[in-house]
Amino acid sequence: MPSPPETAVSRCPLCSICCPVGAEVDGLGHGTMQFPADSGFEGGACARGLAASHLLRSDARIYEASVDGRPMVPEDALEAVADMLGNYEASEVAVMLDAYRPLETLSRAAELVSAALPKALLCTGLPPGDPALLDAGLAAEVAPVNLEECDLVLALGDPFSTHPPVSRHLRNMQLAERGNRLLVVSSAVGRTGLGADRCMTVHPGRLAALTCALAVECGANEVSSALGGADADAICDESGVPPSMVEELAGALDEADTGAVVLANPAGYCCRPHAVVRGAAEAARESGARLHPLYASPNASAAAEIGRMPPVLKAMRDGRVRAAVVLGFDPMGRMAPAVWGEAAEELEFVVHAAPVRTRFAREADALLPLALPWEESGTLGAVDGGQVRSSAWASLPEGVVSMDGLLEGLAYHLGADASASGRAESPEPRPVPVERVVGEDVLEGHEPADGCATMVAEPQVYADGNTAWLEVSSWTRRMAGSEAAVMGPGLAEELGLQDGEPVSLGDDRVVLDCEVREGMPDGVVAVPSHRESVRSLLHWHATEDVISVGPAEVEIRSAE
Amino acid sequence: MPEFDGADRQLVLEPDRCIGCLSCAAACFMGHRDTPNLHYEELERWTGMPAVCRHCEEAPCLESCPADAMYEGESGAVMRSRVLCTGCRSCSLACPFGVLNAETVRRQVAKCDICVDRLEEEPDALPRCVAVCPSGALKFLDPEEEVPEAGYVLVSGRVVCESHRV
Repeated sequence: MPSPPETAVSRCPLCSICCPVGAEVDGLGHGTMQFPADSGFEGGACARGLAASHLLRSDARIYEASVDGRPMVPEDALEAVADMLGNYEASEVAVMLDAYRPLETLSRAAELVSAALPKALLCTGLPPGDPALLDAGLAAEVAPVNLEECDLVLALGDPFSTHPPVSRHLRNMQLAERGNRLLVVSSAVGRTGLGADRCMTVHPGRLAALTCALAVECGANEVSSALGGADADAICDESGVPPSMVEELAGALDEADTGAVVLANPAGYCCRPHAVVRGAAEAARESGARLHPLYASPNASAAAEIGRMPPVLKAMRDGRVRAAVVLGFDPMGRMAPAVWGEAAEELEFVVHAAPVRTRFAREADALLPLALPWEESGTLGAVDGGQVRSSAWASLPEGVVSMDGLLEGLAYHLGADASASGRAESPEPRPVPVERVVGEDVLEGHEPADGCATMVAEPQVYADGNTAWLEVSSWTRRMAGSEAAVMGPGLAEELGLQDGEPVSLGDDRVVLDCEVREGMPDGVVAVPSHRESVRSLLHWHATEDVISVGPAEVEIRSAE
Repeated sequence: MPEFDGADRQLVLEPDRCIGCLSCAAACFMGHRDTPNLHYEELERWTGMPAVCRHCEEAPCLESCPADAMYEGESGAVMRSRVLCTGCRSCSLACPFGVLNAETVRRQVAKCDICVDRLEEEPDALPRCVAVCPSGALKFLDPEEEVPEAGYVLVSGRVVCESHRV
């Protein structure tokens, strides 16, 4: 059978790797994955892509529109929504788009919003890790396949979980020649740490200090001056980072003939993510290592140009926004429920176009059935810096509307010329100056109080991107395996816990089984973040510029 | 239709490469929705491996089946007739590797067919579990000719190679 043309290949849009993959849906509601034999890494997708296909005909799929609880056909619902939005000034409306959609869809959506609601606030729901990479000016332009040529790779975070296909290249690199090494620096021991030649863990509050000290040790003057001219030893002294760790990492990068640094979307899971990214990027530059920033969203750069979420959330908190139109993603699944809840308190009217029924969808005033990302064709920005065409995995089910169609209908009912275009070109995003993201606060050490542990989110291959899936798909939950609170032997012994015993977090708000894992930093517990009750325990920073997960101190004890 | 020639190739696992993402189990589930037959089992606390039919040369399951539902296909793979299988679990008891699990609801025993539907269509295709393995831990090859370069290699449930990094 001849190979399908490039334009006919379906791609997985769930991370920037954009793996070739496909799904077929039969008339009985069953989905079957297809793996093109001639496509890339032996052709296929990781568990995340496979789980996505299960949602094509999930029980939680939305096939019917409703306004104020009254079911209606999508066209009538759009008219009703337009009538309701007409009660507000355009500047009082916020429109939020899913960042995992094709470039054409994002662009067209921005045009239509500009035409229909010219003064509305427009933004995209980027995954929490990507803004820090964008703000550092890091382009996803180095294909991860080159990792196999390296003799040393320093991975920050857990790329095996966030971008599983990268594991093939890193494994090949490790096994190609004696001496090739994979070093991992993270706040928890994840899949990558377990497969690394050396896994170094530090308290999440000290990760930024570690990367900045590493940058300074490698000769990064900008980071040093942002910290008042401090040298690596001074940074270590102040923050409590072991100097030997910095020296070992700097020595390894210096000695490597072909070194590489993989920034595996760590920013969503650590404290002061911008400083972590900037420190690691500067260290790579100074040591001559190739840098591989792995974005979570394939179209992060384009999505960021359209607009970011933090200023819109601030406008919501200030009461300047009274109505919100959320298209394609669940804001309570992509950020802390509290962060969204605080901002959404003043909202009078919420429209949600969603593929699956989540708690947020149930609470929306108007609900519109929307296509899943893999039911739309278009262009995706791949990790190698190029763009790939992706054809839809499956056709639209009856009653479900594409994002283009939905916005065109809404624009029509709002009286706008849907053919209007000419969205002003956004300027290229510029890197944020280093002194704005690396400051004295990175030197603050942190120790949890008695009876508490510092909690970090453990990236899970199933949960990254859209945590709502785990909540609405029992199959995905089953495949994801048991949920556990991962801690080191020291903390487990202190709490009198054995492996598998229940542990209580946050004054019994969450009870999980304990998993004892060697190498975890003292006083740190890593938890899966897809469950809302767990996510609400994490500490989230939401400023005008940044929304990010940070370490949270949480009460911890044996639940027995 | 091209002739399926999968007799020389077997599922090969390098446990050192496995990252435990369960993609193999997910792919098997998606491809064999009625009777998924690859299970990911923990060997030790942090080590696991996909447990799947080894397609034994002298297959005890084949000998034990009272309904003649188990048979050796032309490719040499041990197959199961969905029509003849009564779910009596004789093969489950006979399997020395414990990888044949009875499906109690449908009264059938799930059985790996190395995705023969794909291989018949395209001889160079890979079983679904191999195709999706993101770390290259699972391979489908002729172990007598192509042995992965490093690590332990499990074929038919036995370590056939333990090489060291060079």
